[in-house]
Amino acid sequence: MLTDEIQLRLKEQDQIFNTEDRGFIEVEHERERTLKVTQAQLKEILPVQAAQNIFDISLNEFGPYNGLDVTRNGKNILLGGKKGHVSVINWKKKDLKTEFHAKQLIRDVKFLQNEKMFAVAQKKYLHIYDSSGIELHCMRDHQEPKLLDFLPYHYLLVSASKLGFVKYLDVSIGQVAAEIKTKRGEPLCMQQNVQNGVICVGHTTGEVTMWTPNMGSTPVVKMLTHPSAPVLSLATSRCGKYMVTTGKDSKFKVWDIRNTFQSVHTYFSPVPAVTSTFSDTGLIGLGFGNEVQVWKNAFAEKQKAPYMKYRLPNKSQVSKALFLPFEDVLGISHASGYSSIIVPGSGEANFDAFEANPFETKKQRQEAEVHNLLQKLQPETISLKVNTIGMIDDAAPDVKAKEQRELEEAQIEKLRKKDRKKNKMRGKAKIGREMGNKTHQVHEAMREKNKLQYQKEYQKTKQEQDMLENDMEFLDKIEDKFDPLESYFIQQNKPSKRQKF
Amino acid sequence: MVKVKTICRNEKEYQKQTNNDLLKVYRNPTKAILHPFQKAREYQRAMNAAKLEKIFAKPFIEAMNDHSDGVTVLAKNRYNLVDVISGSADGEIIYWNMGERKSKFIINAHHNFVRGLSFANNKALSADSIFVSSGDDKKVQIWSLQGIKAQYEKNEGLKGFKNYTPRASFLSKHLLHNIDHSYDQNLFATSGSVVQIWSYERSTPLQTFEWGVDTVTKVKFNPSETNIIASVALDRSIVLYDIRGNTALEKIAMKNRCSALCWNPYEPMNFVVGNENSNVYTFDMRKLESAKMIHKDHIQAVLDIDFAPTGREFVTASFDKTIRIFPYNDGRSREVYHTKRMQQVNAILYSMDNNFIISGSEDTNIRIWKSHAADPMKPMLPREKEKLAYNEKLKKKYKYNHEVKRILRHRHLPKFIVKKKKVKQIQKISKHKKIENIRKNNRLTDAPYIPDRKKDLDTVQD
Repeated sequence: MLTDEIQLRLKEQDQIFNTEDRGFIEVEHERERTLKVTQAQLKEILPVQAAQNIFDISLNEFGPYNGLDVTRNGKNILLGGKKGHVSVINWKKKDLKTEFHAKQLIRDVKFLQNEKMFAVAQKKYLHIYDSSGIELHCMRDHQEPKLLDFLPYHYLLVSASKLGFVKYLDVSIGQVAAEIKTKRGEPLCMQQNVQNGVICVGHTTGEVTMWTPNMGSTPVVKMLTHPSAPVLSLATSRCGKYMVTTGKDSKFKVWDIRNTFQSVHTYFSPVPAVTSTFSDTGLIGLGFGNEVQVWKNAFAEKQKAPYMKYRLPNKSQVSKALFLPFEDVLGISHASGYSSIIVPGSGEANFDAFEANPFETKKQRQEAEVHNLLQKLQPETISLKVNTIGMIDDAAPDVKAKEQRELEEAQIEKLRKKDRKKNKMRGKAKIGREMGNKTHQVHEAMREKNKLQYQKEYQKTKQEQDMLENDMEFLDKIEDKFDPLESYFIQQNKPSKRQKF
Repeated sequence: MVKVKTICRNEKEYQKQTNNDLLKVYRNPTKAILHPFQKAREYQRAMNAAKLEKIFAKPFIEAMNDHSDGVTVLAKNRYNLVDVISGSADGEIIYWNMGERKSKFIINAHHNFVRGLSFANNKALSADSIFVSSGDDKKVQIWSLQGIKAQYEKNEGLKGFKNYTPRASFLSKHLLHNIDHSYDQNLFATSGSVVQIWSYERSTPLQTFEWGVDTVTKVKFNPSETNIIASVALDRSIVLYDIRGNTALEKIAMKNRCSALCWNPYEPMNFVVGNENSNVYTFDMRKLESAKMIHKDHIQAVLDIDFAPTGREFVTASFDKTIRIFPYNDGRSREVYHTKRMQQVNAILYSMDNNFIISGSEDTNIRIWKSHAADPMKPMLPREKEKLAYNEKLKKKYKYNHEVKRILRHRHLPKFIVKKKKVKQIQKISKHKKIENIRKNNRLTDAPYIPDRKKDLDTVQD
């Protein structure tokens, strides 16, 4: 508990350090609603510098843009189109840092410690590129990666594969720190809890599981969030207390992930939301169809209507939405490009330059990288309770002794188990015996029954895959010149720099 | 109408205006959300600070090899950081300039071992520095630095000129050991088969003290009560004398012989003695019935001790070829120095600026060490200083954490010391076991509980 004196001191400090104010929308009448405010209106009201943050980039060829990420200081965004287009943009200056074609299917993209490096989950393997688009590494032990996340304080790149593995790669030494079998099939969504580094994964079973690299293949938390419906997306709040999940059952739920792991409020969306995101200040962004909704105070009390709403132009389908840190901006990547809209009050107004500095110079970036590397945290220290390090273990000595004893006994038991002879039960697997087995017969009957359905499903997925491959065939025909974004910018009469290499 | 405000930062406000400006750093320390893993990162920084201390721990500065025999004794000038003199087993005295780390004058002073050297504690501004020496040839000699300089200049053409003449030379009737100059009078005391007090002008001692004891090996004047002398003798005794009277003040005996002695300059009622049983004992001269503290860590006899000018630490030289630094109020040493080539250390000095340690050893070398092994020697920028201070604070905060403690406490030791330490530990445990068994099977009077601080003392006599 904070004492009054400390609180007073914090308040004083707050007045000295935090000089910027948060954004807001204020309506004059009670009947007026912030929901009615459109981006076009905002563009007119706001000063030119702020209004510039409302823009669209239309990129029709290589979408949908599944991969969207932003650096921790909110300066650069990384776009990854499913059909292989990767680009890094300084979104504020509309300055194209790099773009290239991976010539492969892309599932996800992620910045590493800063904008100088990023990881791309491609069709077969995980690739790491540098800021000029040169491939630095191809991680072959991360097969068919689907979702990516990065723990900046641990320098861990986390990848969830289509095969159901979650792998932690220590990018400072290039070694796999941990490998987890989720045993729940293909994961659908993954995000870290920024405050404690626990990885939350959503599954087709409707479960959300939370993982740490030191627990083997047992999750630290299992939550059945959407019974009988796959979890399509999840997001954790910046304060680490709340989580939002969206399911195929068209619900989206807010969860308390600090103590109770219970749902706080349940909301409905017209169609299942495919993406969700939390802002610095606790706004929730949801994307479904060609619409994006922003909810305010959704976990404090049950809301009746969203705070803001936005429809994408040309009925483009939303892929991913992301609140950009320290700005009142929501970035949306969709089937035909990227859109940036203004959501007043979504960003933290006062940044801390020692953590993430939107205006950092080259020298500052380099020094910060060295300092962060020096104080890199060990992967084994990740746990649900974040403050155990540096606390005193006030357990009684006999409790500690008991724990120690139990640990030793468990180890001895493990060794004993290893030595124990296996009960082989010879003759059990004889073919005649197996055919006569009752469960076997039931199983066979079921199989017969489901055969048609299985075949149908198989054909459907095969068709999809073939379509995709046909889609990708044109990639081989791409000539040396590949500049969809640059040409787009030129079209917009915006001269941009292109790095030559 | 609606009222709307968004975050809109003017980039120029957040950047430096000209190249000469300092970079602006905006902080938000009150928002905990912006600072995840604060504790864990701080712990990591503390670990790094501990490791960096080990990396930068390079205490050895220089070895100076001008003696041709083992160094037996060292003396420092209390008012001058540069003057150091050393005596060796072949009777040579060398005057060193510590600033240049070079020998200035090599003096053929005695026919045999130089046993004692002491500066006259002249003030820094006085024109001449006087020092006194004693040797196995029963000679007491008074040297003046001015006189030596004059002789040196006179004989400049002669290379290797060593036969300087002292200001005065007295012959003692008795065998001599060390010598110590008084802090405020032109007097000095010599130890030997008797304790003698000499003045500059008289060729015979002013006073002679005898307690029917064996040879007295070390005498030291008290820096505050300047008439009081402490001494240790070969018959395991520690004796206090007052030169105003004719007899000794007090005498205690220990179970083993003491071979080193030093007064604490800041708490002048306390003195430490180095024992041949490898321990160092702090005594209060007003209360000699038990030691104030036992400092254990050496594994062989302690041969010399010198206090830091601040009185917070003292440094010991030992027969086990190591130098250790003890806090004055801690039973265990803070630091241990050793090299492959250093043999038994006969003499030790703590420099008057608290930064250096000078050791003289049997291998004829005089070595200079830093008193804080990881402290940088260069002048530092304010930011460097701040960083070091922060690291120091972190180490202090996490000093009880077992991982940080393990790094900070570990010292590499020669194999023979590690082995001997293990043996000592086993001996200690078995002794303890034995006495416990005796207590179990006998009356308590057969094996009474005696505190360690009294155990090593014999009966006290007045």
